[in-house]
Amino acid sequence: MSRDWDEQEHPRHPRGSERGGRFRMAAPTASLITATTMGGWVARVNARLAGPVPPEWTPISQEQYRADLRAELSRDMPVEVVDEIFADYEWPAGIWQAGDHVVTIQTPELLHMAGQIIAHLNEMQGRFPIAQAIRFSVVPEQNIGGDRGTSIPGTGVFYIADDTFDEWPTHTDSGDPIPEGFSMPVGHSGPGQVEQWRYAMTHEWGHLIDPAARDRNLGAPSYEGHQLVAQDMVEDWGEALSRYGASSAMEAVAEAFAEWFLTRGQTTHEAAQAYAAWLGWRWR
Amino acid sequence: MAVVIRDSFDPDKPARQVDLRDASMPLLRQLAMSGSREAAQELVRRRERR
Repeated sequence: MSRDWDEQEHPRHPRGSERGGRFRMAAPTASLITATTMGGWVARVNARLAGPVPPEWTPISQEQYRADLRAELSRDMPVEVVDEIFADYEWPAGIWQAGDHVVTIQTPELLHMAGQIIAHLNEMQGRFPIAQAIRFSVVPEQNIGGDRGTSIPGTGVFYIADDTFDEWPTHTDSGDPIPEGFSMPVGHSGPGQVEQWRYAMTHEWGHLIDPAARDRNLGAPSYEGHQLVAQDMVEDWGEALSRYGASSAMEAVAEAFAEWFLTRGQTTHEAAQAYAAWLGWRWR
Repeated sequence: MAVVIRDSFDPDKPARQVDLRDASMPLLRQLAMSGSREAAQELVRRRERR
């Protein structure tokens, strides 16, 4: 069987630095990020610029996280298997916990972003809550085979790649220009454009709260009903959304949610509004 | 079995929905280490089948 692009041994697309700057961000942050290797004080300055971690989120040590995760995974697998996986695992550089929810950042250069990341997570959970324990991670792009965002609807597990903290790419991984309308207006090129990481994170949250995706994974009886309507919706609105959203019913919901949420429900995008009306999204 | 949604945000690589039963070992390990019990359970099933 031929291997999919994600199954190959090494990254298929250039790292951020090769695409024009790893974690290249708007000044003045960019220059300071580059300087993090110069000393801990720079990291602290960066953290202040990027904003504090909300107080309900407590940093926990790698040792504590390791013990907690070992206990959690040991419910489903023999402890020797857990330790086998642990042996190959690159432990997160930063870990924060609030109740049952956990956020991890594996890339040390992005620790200063914890405040913004967690504040955004808080806002999504505050306005469009999920019932499950959140497990959100920022993971090295080379570890996840070309994915930039991954989620398991019906759970609180999702992650984004660390290269989403680069500026928005202007070209695909194979070098072609990104086509017009590939993502929603609030993404690549529209007014009020947001950072790529924020867009990816919000898009993944859109998957988590998508009733069809969630109910499918939970085996809920309402799945087929949601799925039928979702299919009608993407047939009616997919082309008007974004090229990425038009690719499937689930991507359409996630793309519409990213546009709608990141404009605080103020988008004038007709297709995003149609999804908001269908799914009853309200900014509250 | 749960579906994992994998987004590339790249025009050359469409988003995919992957059944955890068909997921690669690196993906399962990453998901388990990110706290997914579903991925942990699938890792155990594969180990038992070996």
